[in-house]
Amino acid sequence: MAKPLVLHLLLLLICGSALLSSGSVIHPISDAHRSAATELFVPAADGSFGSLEETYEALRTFQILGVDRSSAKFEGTCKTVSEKLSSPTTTKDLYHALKITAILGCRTESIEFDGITSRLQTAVKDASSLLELYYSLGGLLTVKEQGKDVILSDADGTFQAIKALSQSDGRWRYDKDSTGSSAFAAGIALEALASVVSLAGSDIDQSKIAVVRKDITKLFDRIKRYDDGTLYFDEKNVDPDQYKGPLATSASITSGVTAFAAVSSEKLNIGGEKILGLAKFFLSIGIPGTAKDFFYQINSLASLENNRISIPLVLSLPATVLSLTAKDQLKVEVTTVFGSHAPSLAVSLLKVLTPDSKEVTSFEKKELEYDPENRIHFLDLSPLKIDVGKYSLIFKVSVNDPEGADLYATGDQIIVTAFLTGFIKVDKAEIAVSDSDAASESVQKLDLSKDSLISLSANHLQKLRLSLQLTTPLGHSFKPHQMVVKLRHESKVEHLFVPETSSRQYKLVLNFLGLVEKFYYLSGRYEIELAVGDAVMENSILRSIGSIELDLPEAPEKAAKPPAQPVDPLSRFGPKEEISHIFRAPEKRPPQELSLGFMGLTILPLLAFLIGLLRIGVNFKGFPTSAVPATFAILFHGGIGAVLLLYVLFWLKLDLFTTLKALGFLGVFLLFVGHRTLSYLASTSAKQKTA
Amino acid sequence: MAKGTNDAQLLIQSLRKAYASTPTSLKIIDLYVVYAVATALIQVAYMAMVGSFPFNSFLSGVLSCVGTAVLAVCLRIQVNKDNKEFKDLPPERAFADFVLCNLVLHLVIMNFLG
Repeated sequence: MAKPLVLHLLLLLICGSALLSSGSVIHPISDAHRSAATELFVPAADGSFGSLEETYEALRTFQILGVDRSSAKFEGTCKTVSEKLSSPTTTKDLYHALKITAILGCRTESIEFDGITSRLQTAVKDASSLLELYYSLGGLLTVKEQGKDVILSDADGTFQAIKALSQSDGRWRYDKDSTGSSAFAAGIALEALASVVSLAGSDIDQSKIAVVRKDITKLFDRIKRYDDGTLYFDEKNVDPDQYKGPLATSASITSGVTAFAAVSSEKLNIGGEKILGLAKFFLSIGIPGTAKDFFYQINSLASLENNRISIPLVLSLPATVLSLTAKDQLKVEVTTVFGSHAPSLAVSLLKVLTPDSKEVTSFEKKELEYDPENRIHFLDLSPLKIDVGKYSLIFKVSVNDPEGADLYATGDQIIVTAFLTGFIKVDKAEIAVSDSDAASESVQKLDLSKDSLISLSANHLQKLRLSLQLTTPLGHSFKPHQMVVKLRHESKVEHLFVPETSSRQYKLVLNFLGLVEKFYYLSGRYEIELAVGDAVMENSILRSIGSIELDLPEAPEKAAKPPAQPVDPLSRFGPKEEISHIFRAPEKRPPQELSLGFMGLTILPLLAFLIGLLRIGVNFKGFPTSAVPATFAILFHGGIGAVLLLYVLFWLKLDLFTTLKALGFLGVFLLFVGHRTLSYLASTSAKQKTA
Repeated sequence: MAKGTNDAQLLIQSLRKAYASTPTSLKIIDLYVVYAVATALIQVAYMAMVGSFPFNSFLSGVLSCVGTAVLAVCLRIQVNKDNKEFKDLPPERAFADFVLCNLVLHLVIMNFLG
């Protein structure tokens, strides 16, 4: 039930809090990224990844990560792309198509580069927006890199055109007419300017480049910062549909700045700290979820890997949980953002801080040793005599070669959170039952390393005492995150208690007299469970230490009932208990013979009636003899008989409505016939009287 | 005591003689009434023995007998020539009423019989 949950929850909480506090865990790009890339960028059957832009992004990501691009699918891509190049398309498509051709190393014999070049040059001249300039200049640069001869006619003018769109705060506008500027546009503009300079060679005036350098400095004034030194760019005051988000903005600026730094003869006035901050930002994303984000991350990191300002070096710990029992070494890796090896470095551990930011005074600055085989810096922890716990480790990385110190950005102080775990000793564990006057105690020693269970018995006038001591491997007293004693009754009602701590000991005293009501007056066998847990405790305890037979007084009338125990939620779907319906007991019927007998008995009076009639001397003299009246008389009697027959049918099977309908017809008939017969009889008797 | 029985016997004898002079038609009606009431009594005796379930059937049976007896008594009153009140009512008319009322009664009885 709660057994594994409690420990897991606690560990999760601790890990979560560790991530939120100083120093998110940063790792350089690794194979995990490569496999994620192959899963994220899935080409269609014809080798494309959607639009031309998406195809370019996918292929560029594969190129940087070193994922295999020689698959047969991409031959089809080459063909579609070369078709695109020969047909009239937008500048953007031309740009992406040319880039794809360069990445895949497609055969260029069939491509008419002259025509493409002239199209691009016209585009540069006629361009009205920043994006047009960017795509056309980028296209021309790609063509030049393919080995063709490309001349930019009016390099100065183009440079000026791009520069004209800049704002005073370092941002750029998209075109002359738009009023809003954005940092994303600034990145694009810088890349376009870099393309102009590469295409023009030495034709560009150096003072102009110097002006752009100042723009870049102004742009970097807008950089945003996290506490751990991560830096990024974000947009303010842009239209919602123009807003691209911090990743896209930072990626655009990174590409632009690194491209411009490559063509600028003088070094840009941006500190290595800013480059490292940007690198940390891109790495802290981990593995992005969308293709676009993945491209932005990898493309930016690629520009940073080999940039001319300074190359960022990243310090990462392959393991942040170190076990004192297993004599783990503290291992540290310093690499470039792509995991390639760094130059010769010295890594030193400056300080070790406890979670409340106090320094561990026993620790002095130590330099880590270097293992050239695995390219890891390591340090043995046992001689340091650091106790178990959660610590913030502060590292400093310095490049050994003094000239190289400028080339690389290592950052000032790097803070990493690490856990030192160890085996916690449990001493002097005792459990005792004593009388309320503390006169006598029956103490039992608990040995928590063995599986033995103790059994005690107590009544409500006695007290239970449980005490133990916890010590760290270095002998200090240990305070775990959690220590709970649970008493569980046979009926599954549970009670939790937290022992109190005093100097070195944990003690729990249960005075049953005061707890009788809390226990709902339930007597019986209570199982005692002890839980001791902490993130740095390798031997957390969660076990039953025994049972106690409690004898509590009877519950009074008004006592609270113990709470209903939770029912297994799945039992709701199981078979339910059988319902025994109570039907109305059928009435007792008399035996059939009796009923039939009485039916016969009912016929008897009828027989008696008929016999009586005969005795009286009934005759049919009054029955009319002549034809017509006789017929009516017969019909009259017949009609009555028919009605009686109808009643019998009504009783047997007809319903009231049919009966009434039939009765209506018969009744009318009977009335008519009866009237005729009876009036005839009346007239004959009247004749007899008068006669 | 002997005198009592003697008196009763004399009474019955005189009643018998008087009764002998009633017209046949009235005797028929009387016999019919006796028949109806006897049937009712048998039904009541049956109910007394086996209980009143189903009660509606019992009621319907008994009431049909009693009802028809009542109607027959009405007929007798109307047909009796010595009855001054119904001098002008032809006996055929009374008989027609008797038949009609019986038919209605028996319709209701059959419905209630269940």
